[in-house]
Amino acid sequence: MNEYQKIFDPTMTAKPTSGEEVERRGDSSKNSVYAYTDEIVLAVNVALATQRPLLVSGPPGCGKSSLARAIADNMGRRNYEITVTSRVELRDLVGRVDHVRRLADAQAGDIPKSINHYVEPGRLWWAFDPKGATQRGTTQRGNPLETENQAVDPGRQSNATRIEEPAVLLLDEIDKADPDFPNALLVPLGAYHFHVEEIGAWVELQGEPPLILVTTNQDRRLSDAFLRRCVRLEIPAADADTLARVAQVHFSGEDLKKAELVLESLGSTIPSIAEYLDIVRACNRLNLDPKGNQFVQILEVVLGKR
Amino acid sequence: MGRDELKHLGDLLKAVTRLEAADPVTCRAIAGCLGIRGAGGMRISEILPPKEPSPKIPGTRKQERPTDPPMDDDFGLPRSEDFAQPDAVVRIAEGGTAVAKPHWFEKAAPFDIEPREVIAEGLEWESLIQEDLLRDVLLFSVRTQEEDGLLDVPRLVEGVACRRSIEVLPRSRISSTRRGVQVLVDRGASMALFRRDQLQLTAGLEALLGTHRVEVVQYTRSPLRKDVKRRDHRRSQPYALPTPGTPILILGDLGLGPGSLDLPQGPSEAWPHFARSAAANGNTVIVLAPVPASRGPSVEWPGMTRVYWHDALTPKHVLTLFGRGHEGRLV
Repeated sequence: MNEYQKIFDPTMTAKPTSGEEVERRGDSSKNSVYAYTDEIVLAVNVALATQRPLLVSGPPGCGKSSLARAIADNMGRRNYEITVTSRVELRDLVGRVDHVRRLADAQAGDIPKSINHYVEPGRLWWAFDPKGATQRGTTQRGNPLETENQAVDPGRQSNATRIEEPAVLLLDEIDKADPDFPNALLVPLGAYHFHVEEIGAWVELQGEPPLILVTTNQDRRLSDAFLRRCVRLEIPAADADTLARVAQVHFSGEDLKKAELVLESLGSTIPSIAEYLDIVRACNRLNLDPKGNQFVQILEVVLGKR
Repeated sequence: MGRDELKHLGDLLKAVTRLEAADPVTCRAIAGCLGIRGAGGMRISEILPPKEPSPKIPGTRKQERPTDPPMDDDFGLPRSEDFAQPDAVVRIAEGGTAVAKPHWFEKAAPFDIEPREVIAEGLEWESLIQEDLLRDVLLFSVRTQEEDGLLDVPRLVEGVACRRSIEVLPRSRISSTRRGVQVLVDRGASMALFRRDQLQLTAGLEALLGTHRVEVVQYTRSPLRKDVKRRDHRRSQPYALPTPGTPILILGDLGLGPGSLDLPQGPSEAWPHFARSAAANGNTVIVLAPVPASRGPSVEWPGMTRVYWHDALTPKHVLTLFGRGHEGRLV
């Protein structure tokens, strides 16, 4: 199933050398590596070709959320993430006005400024138009704000060297949102423009469209209108072969041998990819023997939450 | 190719062209990514293996059922020859006692009570609420009003003008489902006819709000009795009101339904007590009862609204009753 021209080809990703295991930041990693399958690569390519959001589903810990960062790193794109909760609304994504700061300034007797000074651009705005977001839009006269009042890119650490590149935007766990939230996204994700209600400004896509990844744990059925606009990818639960492949991608040298020992010791217990990586990391960092007695305790600690 | 799949055709062509997909397997995989499942025409039909038409059985759902495994002769189920002998079937004598039991009767396991899939796949059934109206009826029934909207400028200006210290920014009220809902399902005999409707509504709520925001509790007579069952915990346990502000939806008749020989006439005394407790806890209670308003108490209990659950119920009726949503928390 490789007979197509790939827009996204992860085979060029560098593998860490021994002792240089990926630095972790929560669920993400600084120099992310990812065990891609043909299905994942194809789905990403289809999403890029059709310019549709990629809806990723699968069991917890299978690598839905980390896929976005891995793609961004692989393609050298800017990366933005937002975890959706029941309180998240469209304006959290597009931008909102910091009324508290504005009121505080007014009460402190500051000279009234343009409302644009208090605009906090959302991740969608940054993904569509980073320059416009930096300038918090333009004032009513169409002028940009002064430099000292410019907004700061929320992903500045990883995006600093990619400022001219298109973005990857992750909307994590969309099924936790209010039922109408996915429908509110139809226009921004379909037509690539949106309206920032509080300042009455329209934001349009500048340059190449971002790749938008939407993850769901399938707690709730999404509307047909939303589903129709998405390219779908279901990542299955990990099996022993998958974990072996993940180990090959994430580790090398002695660490890889230990990872393989861990897999052997697990026997019929198949953890998720995230849990497996945690077990291997624990064994590596704590210098534990996967065949030793304490390995069971490690399993209890890592898998006991299930 | 179905109508929905036609909508994907543009995307399919775009992806196949842009990715220069050359082989049928890749084209088929791309179609799968775009949600095209049973492509039955156009070029996709050349790619997919031919399908045998599934038999159509009147009165059943489209879902294919697995074929039954071959039956063991000694399994104990009745055979056709058993019925050929008059005494081999259960027959009630005039005195009301069984005169004979077939040999398989003793071994037969009792019927499992209410397996969900059996109810869902049984005979043809017409729901009280039409499928296309269900989402809005449920949404309008359980949403609450929350101060999560845009800044409420008039209230803010009033506060500033009165020189009040502003600790919380006033926000406009919007409808929200973030509080979820507790669903009380009446499993009493009088609601037996509405089991599938109850299932339809609970499934609809889970699809609408997500399973994590729907708590289903089963009860008979009243939830204040000790034998309530939570769906996630099979054991019976005492009933507990949901967190303040969470609406409670009762799918039951409050003891007013017909044909319930084991129920006392009229609503149980427990209901006014339940309504007071829920109100004190800050919960609104919505009762979807398949009983007209003329039947039952004329005075509504505080915080409890009864809706006649019948085949003419529309979202408009519910919207008229509840407006843009219940108060987030009763005062």
